[in-house]
Order: sequence, then structure tokens, then C-alpha cells
Amino acid sequence: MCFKCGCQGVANLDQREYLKTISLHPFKDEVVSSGDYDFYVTMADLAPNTVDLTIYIENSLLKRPVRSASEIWLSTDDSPATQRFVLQPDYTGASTLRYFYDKPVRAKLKIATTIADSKPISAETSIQIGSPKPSYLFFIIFVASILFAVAFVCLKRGFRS
Amino acid sequence: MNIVKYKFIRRSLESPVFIFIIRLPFVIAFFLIIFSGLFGSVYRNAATLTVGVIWLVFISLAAILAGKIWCLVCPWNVLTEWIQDILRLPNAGFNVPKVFNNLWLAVFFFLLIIWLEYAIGLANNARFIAYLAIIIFGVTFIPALLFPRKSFCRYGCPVGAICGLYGLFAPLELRSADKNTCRKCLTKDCIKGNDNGDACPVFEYPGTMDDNLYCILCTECIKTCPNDNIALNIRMPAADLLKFRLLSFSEMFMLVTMLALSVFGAINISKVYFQVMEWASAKLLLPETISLLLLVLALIAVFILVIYAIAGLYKISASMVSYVLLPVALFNHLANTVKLFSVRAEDVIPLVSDPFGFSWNLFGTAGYLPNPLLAPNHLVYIAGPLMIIGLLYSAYLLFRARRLNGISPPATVHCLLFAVILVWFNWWLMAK
Repeated sequence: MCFKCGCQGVANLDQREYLKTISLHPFKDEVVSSGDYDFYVTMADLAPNTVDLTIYIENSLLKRPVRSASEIWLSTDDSPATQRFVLQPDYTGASTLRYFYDKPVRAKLKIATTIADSKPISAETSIQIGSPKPSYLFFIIFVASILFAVAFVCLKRGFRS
Repeated sequence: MNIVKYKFIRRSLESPVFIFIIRLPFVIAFFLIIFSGLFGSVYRNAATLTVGVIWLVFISLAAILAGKIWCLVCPWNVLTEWIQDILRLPNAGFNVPKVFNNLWLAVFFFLLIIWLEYAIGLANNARFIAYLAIIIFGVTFIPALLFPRKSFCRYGCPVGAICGLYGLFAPLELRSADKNTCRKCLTKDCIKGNDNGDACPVFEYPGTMDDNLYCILCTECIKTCPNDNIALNIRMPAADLLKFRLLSFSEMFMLVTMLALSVFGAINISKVYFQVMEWASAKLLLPETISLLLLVLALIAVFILVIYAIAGLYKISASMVSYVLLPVALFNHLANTVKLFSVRAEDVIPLVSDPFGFSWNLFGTAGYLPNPLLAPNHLVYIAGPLMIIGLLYSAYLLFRARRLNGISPPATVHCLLFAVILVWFNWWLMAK
């Protein structure tokens, strides 16, 4: 279910527009340099358990032309298997993978494509898939520590009048 | 020039309302960062930019201009103070153990935070930033309940310690206007506090305080002094450095740690770092998290050894050698900070429209990606001059030390050579 409007679809129109904007001008959540090429990886929470990975590659010296990622390999920390995805670029030259996950996890990402003369280029990085929820245990420990300290001091000295 | 003699400024500094008003925006920003870190997207989040870039630049520049002014508005300190006052919480009154009456705790926390930053990408993960902000609040609040005044601010806070070192350059100082008046004063209200204000929270005595290393500019002494003998002076920048204060070993270690981390910061973004990490992984079978810590500690050890070698060779104090390296350390650190800012500052524009990563587009700039302020190969043009300023100031200090403290010409040359090597190495790494 879409977290923004509650619809059962992946995203509403505004969000599509938004994603189109970021695929035209991607943020650089991760920039991985490999040789003369910079691999830009942009992630967006699309809906609960759904993330869009937008990838484009550009020559760091020339800045253009934008290359498209043709394949990516993804291996998450909680699973030894590596998943392979073949990507199709959109008209901007960026490629987007819509990835569904069970729970937020860190993953290793390998991006590959071929440039002129069939020369392959690739880059690897580590990414966070999905935004983890705040840890309740952390807050319980934190509040307990503070309360313990306050109680200790109050018992020792009593409240100020 | 004493600016407290102007009634408007004096009244403002003595007014709790004025202090509250200047503190409030920082406390609000603190809560927004925590909210954004806990509930926003980990990918696109104003918390990472605010803490990892804007805050670092802000406190470095603020400290260079006004000493430890950050401590006045520090949200951890302010919240602790407010909660204690509102809930009327008592203080257990334990004395700070003697083993902590120095900056070792601050050095430890500094190294820990830096290690977390490089090992787990602390400043790039909004969740970690929020957790750390909450943990630091606990680390500030609990000592405030156990120990008198602001013991943690004095002995344990790494940010305060760094700002104190930067503050030696500041053209602003809080001092007693007339030392004789302090000597004759029988009540010493600045130490004990009175109805007008609290005792100095960081255990300083304005009558003898002659540098900005520990004063947190809380203005309590301005309120408590019965003789109106506290001055807030505008002075020549870096006036404290010319006094050649004898640094304690922990203060010297903090300085060397800053120096080592400025070099490490430059190594980290160069290809050399990956070569070292690959070597450590292949030959020593060490994970990167351990290797990078060892690299930082090795740099610190090398710098300490060089400082003691020069000091031993020419029979001068190690404190003096490290003291003249202080401008190099600070300006290298500032160069790294400015470099970071110039690379990431443009992220402000999209994040203004979508600060929490909720797919908002408040001002229509969410997808905007301007070019960086400076291309990576041009960074050296902004960071380089800063490093040169540091080097020149170190050279000037050496010249003064030679005249006033009788450092021999060969010792001067060796100290200067060490400073030049440090700056050149940083520059070389930056250019790679």
C-alpha cells in the first residue's frame, strides 16, 4: 500500500512525477568511482517494502554522455544468494530497478554495463535497502538509564525544596 | 575593546530571556534532527547534511570567531540545564575522580566518534545520527546529576575541547577587566555563585583565566560579579597563542589527535587509503574497521614521537613543540571541513523541499541537483590557502618562541620542517 495516499498501487501520480524528476536529475545518495566513470546510485522509498534504485553512469571527465547500467547484481546481508537484474534505461539514460524487500537490510550492489568498443565497466558499493524503523530497545535502555540515574540521585540527596 | 561596557549588550547578556531566545532555535533544530533521523528516509535526509556538514562548518567558524560560543547554545547542555531547573533535580555532589581532571575523556570520545564515522558511516546514516544525539544527551545529562556544575562540558566533551583549541584564535575573550579588583574581592561570587547567577560551570576563575581554552561564554560571571569587573573584549585574533601556555599532556594529545585526524581525513579520500586497506586486509587479515583505527593511532603515535624527538634533541618542552604546530593542526582541520562543505553544500537545495525524505516537494526543488560549489580537482584551491595560513602562523609562532623563549635556530628549523612536511603531505593527498 502506498504510504502517501493509502492506495493499493505502487505510487500515485505526484510520486511518479517526483520520481521522474529525480531520475532526470538524480541525487547522489552513493557515488562510486571506477576508472573514468562515476556510478550514481539513487534510492527512494516508494511504498512500504518497495524501493526504487535509480542508476546512471557518467564519464567523470567529460560529464556526458550518460551511460546506462545494463545489469546489476544484488546480494543482501541476510541471504547468501546473489540476484541478477537486467535493466532497461528510460529516455533520460537512467535505469531504475524497483526492488521489493521483506525487511530493511544492507546489501552489496555490483553495477555493470558496456561502453564503446564493447568494453565492460563495473563498480561495487554497499547500500541500505529500506529505512529501518527506530529501535524500541534503544529507547527502553535509554529511558531506563536516565530514570535509574535520577532515582539514584533523588534517593541520595532528596528533591530540592 | 570591552563590549560589556555598552549597556544594551550588558543587559542583553544578563537577561535570561535573551539567552533563552538565542538558545531556542538550536534546541528546535536538535529535535528536528532527531525526528528526521528516526522517522525520515535513510537515503535522503536533512539530518545527515545538517550534522555531517553544516554543523561541522558552523562550529569551526564560530569557534575561530568567538571561542566556545557553541557551548552557550549547545542543545545537549541547554536541555540538561532546562530539565534540571524545571524538575528541580538535585545533584549527587560527587567529586569528579582525579583521573578524569584532564582531557583524556574528551580525547577518548573524539576518537570513538571519528572511528564510528569512518567505520559505519555515522554521518551518512540519519538513524545513527539520531541515536548518537540521544546517547550524547544521556552522556551529558547523567554526569550533570552525579557531578557538580558542568563537569562533562569541562572534562568530557570533545566538541568543547576542539572549540577551546580553535578559540585560542578567536578575536573575542571573556576576562576580568582588572586583575587587582579580583585579587581584592572577598566574596568571589564568580566561583561560588549568588542570587544573580550560578558559579562558573566549568570551574574557571576569571581572576586568573588568561586564555579561551575552557571558558564556555555562559556569561554567568558577568551576572554574578559584584564589582562589574568582567569584560568581554574584542582583541587581536590569535592573541592567546602568543602567550605560549604550557599545555598538559592530555591537551597536547588532543591537539596531536586533531593533527593526525586532519591528515587521516585527507588520506581517507585519496587512493592511498584503499591501497593501505587492501594491504592490511591481505597481509594482516584485518577488517577495515580495525585497520582504520590502527592507522589513526599510528599517525598519532608517529606525531607524538616526532614531537618528543625534537623536544628531546633540543632540550625544549614537548608542549612548546606541539603548541607551535597548533595553527597547522587547526587550519588543516578547517581545510578538510571547508572541503567537505564545498562538496556537499549543494545538497541543501533539494533537501529544503524534502527535509525528511517523505517525498515532499515543498518549494519545487526536490529533484534539483546543482553542480558542486567546487569540482573535486579544484578543492585544493580553497583548502590550500587555509593550510598555508596555518603554516605561516606556525612559522610566526616559532619566530616569537625563538625570541621570547630562546628556542635555538636548529630546533626552530626542525619544528618548521615538520610543519611544512605535514602541510605538504596533506596538500599532496588532496591533489591525488
